[in-house]
Amino acid sequence: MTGRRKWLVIAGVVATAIATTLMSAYAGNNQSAVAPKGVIENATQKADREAAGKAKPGPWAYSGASGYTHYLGGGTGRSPAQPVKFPHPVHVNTLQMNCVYCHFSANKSPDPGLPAMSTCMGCHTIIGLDRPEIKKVSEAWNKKLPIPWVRVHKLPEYVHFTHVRHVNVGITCQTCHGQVQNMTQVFQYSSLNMGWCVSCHVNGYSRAEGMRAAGYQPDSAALADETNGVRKTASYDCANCHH
Amino acid sequence: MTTPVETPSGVKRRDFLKVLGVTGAATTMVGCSTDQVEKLIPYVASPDNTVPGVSSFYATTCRECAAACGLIVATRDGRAIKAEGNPDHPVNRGAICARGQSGLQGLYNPDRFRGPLLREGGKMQPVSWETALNTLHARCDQATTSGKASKAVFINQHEQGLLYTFLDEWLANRGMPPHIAYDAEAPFATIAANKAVYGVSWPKLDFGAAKLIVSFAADFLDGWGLPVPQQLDYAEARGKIEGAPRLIYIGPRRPLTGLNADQWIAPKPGTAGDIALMLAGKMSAADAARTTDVPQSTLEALRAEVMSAKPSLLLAGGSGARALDLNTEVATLNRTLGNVGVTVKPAESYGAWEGVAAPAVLNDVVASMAAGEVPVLFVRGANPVHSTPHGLGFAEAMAKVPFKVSFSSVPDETTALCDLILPDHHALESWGIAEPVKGMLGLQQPTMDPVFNTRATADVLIASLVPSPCFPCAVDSEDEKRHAAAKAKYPADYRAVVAAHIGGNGRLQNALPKALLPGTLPARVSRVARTLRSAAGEKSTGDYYLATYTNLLMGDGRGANKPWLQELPDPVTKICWQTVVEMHPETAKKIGVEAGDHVTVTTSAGTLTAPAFLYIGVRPDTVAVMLGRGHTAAGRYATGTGVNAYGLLTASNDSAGGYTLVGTRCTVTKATGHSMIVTTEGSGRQHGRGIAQALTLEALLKGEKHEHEKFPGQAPAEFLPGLRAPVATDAQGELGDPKSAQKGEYAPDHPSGLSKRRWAMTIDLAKCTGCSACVTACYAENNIPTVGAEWQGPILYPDRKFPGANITRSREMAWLRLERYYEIDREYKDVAWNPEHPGPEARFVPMMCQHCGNAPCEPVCPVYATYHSPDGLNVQVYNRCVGTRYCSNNCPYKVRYFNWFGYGVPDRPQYAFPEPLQWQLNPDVDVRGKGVMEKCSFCVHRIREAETLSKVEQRGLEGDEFTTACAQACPSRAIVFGDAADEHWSVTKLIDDRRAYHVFEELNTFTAVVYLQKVNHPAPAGATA
Repeated sequence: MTGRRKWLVIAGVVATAIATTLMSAYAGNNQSAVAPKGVIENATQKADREAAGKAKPGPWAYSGASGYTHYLGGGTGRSPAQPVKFPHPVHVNTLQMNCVYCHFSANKSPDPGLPAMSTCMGCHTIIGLDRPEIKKVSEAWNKKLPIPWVRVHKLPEYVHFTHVRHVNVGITCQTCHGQVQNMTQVFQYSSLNMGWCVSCHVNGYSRAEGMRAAGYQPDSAALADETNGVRKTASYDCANCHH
Repeated sequence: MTTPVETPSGVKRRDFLKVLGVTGAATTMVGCSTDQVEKLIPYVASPDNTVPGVSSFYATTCRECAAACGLIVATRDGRAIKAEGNPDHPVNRGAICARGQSGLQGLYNPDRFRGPLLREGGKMQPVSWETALNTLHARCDQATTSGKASKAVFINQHEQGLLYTFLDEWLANRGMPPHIAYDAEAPFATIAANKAVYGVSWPKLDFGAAKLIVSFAADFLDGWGLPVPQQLDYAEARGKIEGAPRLIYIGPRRPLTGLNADQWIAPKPGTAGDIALMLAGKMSAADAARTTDVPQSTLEALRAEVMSAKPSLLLAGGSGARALDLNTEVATLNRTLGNVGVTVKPAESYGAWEGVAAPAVLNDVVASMAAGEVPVLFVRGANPVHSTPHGLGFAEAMAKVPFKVSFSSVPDETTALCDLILPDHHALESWGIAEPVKGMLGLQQPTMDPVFNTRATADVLIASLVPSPCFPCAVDSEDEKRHAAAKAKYPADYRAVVAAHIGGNGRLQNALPKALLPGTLPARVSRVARTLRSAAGEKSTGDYYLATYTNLLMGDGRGANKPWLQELPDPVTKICWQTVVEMHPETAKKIGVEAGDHVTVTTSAGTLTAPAFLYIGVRPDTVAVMLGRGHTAAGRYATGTGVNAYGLLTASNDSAGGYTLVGTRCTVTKATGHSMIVTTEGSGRQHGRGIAQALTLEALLKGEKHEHEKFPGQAPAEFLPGLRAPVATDAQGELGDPKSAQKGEYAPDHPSGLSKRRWAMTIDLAKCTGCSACVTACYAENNIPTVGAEWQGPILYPDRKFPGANITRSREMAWLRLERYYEIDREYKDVAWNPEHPGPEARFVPMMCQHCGNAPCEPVCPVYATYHSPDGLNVQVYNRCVGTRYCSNNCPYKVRYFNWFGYGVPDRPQYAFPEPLQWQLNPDVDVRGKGVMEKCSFCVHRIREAETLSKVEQRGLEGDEFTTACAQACPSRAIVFGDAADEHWSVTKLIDDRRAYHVFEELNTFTAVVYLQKVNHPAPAGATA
């Protein structure tokens, strides 16, 4: 095979692959983002509808262990770029804001909640208006548009995970999510595989370990528990999460 | 393959693999990053009191029929996902029927109009609201200036509320006559008789106070009157067991009420009035026997019983030439028997039928339209083109109206003929008010933002007073003054109308949490027909009587485009997605047809060809056809499904102004062709299996436990459901081994506490009427796909593509099905007509996963997808299931359902939730994929939700704290769910009832569902029938 012919074939295959990829990518985008005919919708309605698209079962709904199986470790380390470079370190470390200030329903709902734009604007109508990232937020606010955050942690749709049950027994957020307070860009810290879930449910949660994972010094009660080998186990019945 | 191989094309295999490797990786990365990137969209400003992932509840009023029951609508993230009954509401007291729940499928109907439409060049084109309103304004002005405004017609679907008076004011302002409150389902003869005899349109009927209920063709359990309160009262009365009323049904066809009756008397169509006359002493039993074709002994026994049983409750429905006479006679009988004030309570009247106009009013309208006098026709909600007898010629007359406006939010046959469509909000998006019982107002509030670009009709009418180019008009122009004066008469919108009526915004806001407050609505006066079309004018001939009927599901046709209602089998015939001609097996033999053979029914008004269905509950001289199907332009599920039996009806009226649905003479002939009957029924009899057990009151009081059969291998011990059940060793592996020390969560002292609970259910067959509301509740709660639409059928066999094709192959997905059995000893085709005992006993059994303690499905699953949980549930793990279907083969109850197609995958042709129907899906329950087995889960997500809530509130579960979807909806209150191991739950008492039994308990399945035997009340001793 001549070199020239070889490169022609390589280029051809690459081109075909790219074309296929783009087509499939377009198809994928198209699937959930078409407005119903004849509907004139405002930005909020559009966003709502696009969010509704996520309720559709995806092609992965019944295969694989977690939403991001194509990543080694079920998505561990996955760190998509966000439309606004939100700095968790500044808000959590510097300003000492509690996680549930913004993720307000983590302790009362299965869903942790994402702060409404109005929560951001509680401060950012005054603070840091000249910074480019905050300008993006202000612009969106002025247009009454939400910021389309990219999802980092995703469980398959056949798993019904309940934040409130975990938060209310005192499991630190960082046990599962890592030290988000130190992440300039949030990444997936845990594998979110079923084995990962069940190992904690069976072996139990140690408060001291959870506090260390969060980056705090365990308190004396937690240390005493650790010395005595107290770990909080939980039910691992299938129907807790799969129904 | 380590040696490089020269491929024919000249590309070395190793080079090719390298290239493939690189592009493959690229494809994976890019491909995945597109189809798996999910966006998280926050609120811009979060609404108050909403927590994502937790339902918010809105109290409102149901508008699916005239009863105006109270609803509690669960919404999640701004979308209504479930409609349940409002426990505080005086009409439905927490229960809800199948139709009420299906309101959600009207809200999210994929065929709803997306915005206003205007006919341009013969086609309907989407237009802006501005254009639409200006067109309406101009056309109304035109009608006024041409001097024809007084002939304009506004037909409104009858509903209680202020819209009634608002419309009339608006029309009067335009110089137009008052509107017509039309409802093809209203029992006009009964309403007229009620008004004449009791002085109210609909008195409260106290079934509990009666010792005997006699229904003259009033199907009060399946659509007649106010279905939910009647069923609640009736079932409660029957649930008393001792002192429960006996029910006798009189009518040529045996509807759901007839199947529930202890006795069925089958007079010739149109002659029930003679039985009433006999009871009143105005006719001898011998004469009545001759005209009604009922044995004289039966009639005499009936008379003896009615005279001795006091108090009794006599009801009359019926539709036909003598319907008003029958109703008046029966109402008078109630008075003479002293039932008024005891079982019939005019003082506590319902407002459902206040103001409804008899359909004979349309006679004048049709005449006026046909003469070309009507300048503009408005239709809102009603569909007279479909649901009037075609003999009336509504569609032809309507074509002569120059401008027709529809306010319907969904397509229907009448709207298809209109020139301007101004889609109204759905009831769940609207403001409104009703007076469901005298002196109590029920409020209707939007449960969510409008799905589409629709507007409330009242708001449209207010807005159309001022054309938009005139806003702002030239100052002091004549136009401006006129428009300003017109608009000044009205509040800003309909919400303000409602608020003003109850005393302001503050009171409205305060009343909304329960949507109830004391008050009254302005009096509503029924429009009266000027001309009645006498039945004498109609000379239809033939050997048979035609009996058409509506049921609660399809109604007059309004339910037809809701897949839940199409898929829900008729409670009597168990037929879905199809119209059949019901005839007695003897009749079929005479005509020479078998079940499924096509027959043609001909009356003077038209013909209809449909498959024959052998129904043992219809007189041999009568054929029956259900109304409501056979749409030609009412959306994807309705159009082309079934045949429209209104085409057979002559336009003659009874003296109350109703249509003659029963009693027209017709001929029935064999036609060519054969169709499979689309039914979910396997066999109509029990074959001695004791699935639905019943005993007489006498036997129960004597202490007989079972009615008759003793089964081989019957479990000898009494047991609590699941409590003493051995957990199937095979399914649990080591955990089920009694010698194993490691019991995991099955150990009674495990900290999760799961094994301390035993979820269980009791179903009282003495209360169950077979109405099937539970089935629809299950569909709504558990994201069950409907599978019967034509395009969901088998694709490889085009000849099998018809509505219900999947049902004929038993692919329905109903986790909960309502089985109906007759106590007969042979197949339908061999059942002979016996005038002495026309109707065998019928029994109903809701059948769902029995959550066996010793489940046959569990050991046969090769992948442990089904197993027994420590709290007593038979769990199905969908993501583990590989679809071997062994479990279904091994299930003695046949309650496991397999996903043959991708009903939940949007790009599959079988997709069951076309946009925006999928908005209704319950986010707490998986949408199952293709190749997965599924079944009743005992609403495990509700159990988990309740457990989470109790944990958050740091308490234990309280007795009867929550219940399953089926039990919540049940208008008979027959289903009770709870923890059989915790005495705080009422289920623990019911399990110990003397009537309790397990289905197939001889199989040692140790089921967690306990049925309570039905109790029959045979005729008292001395009576001959």
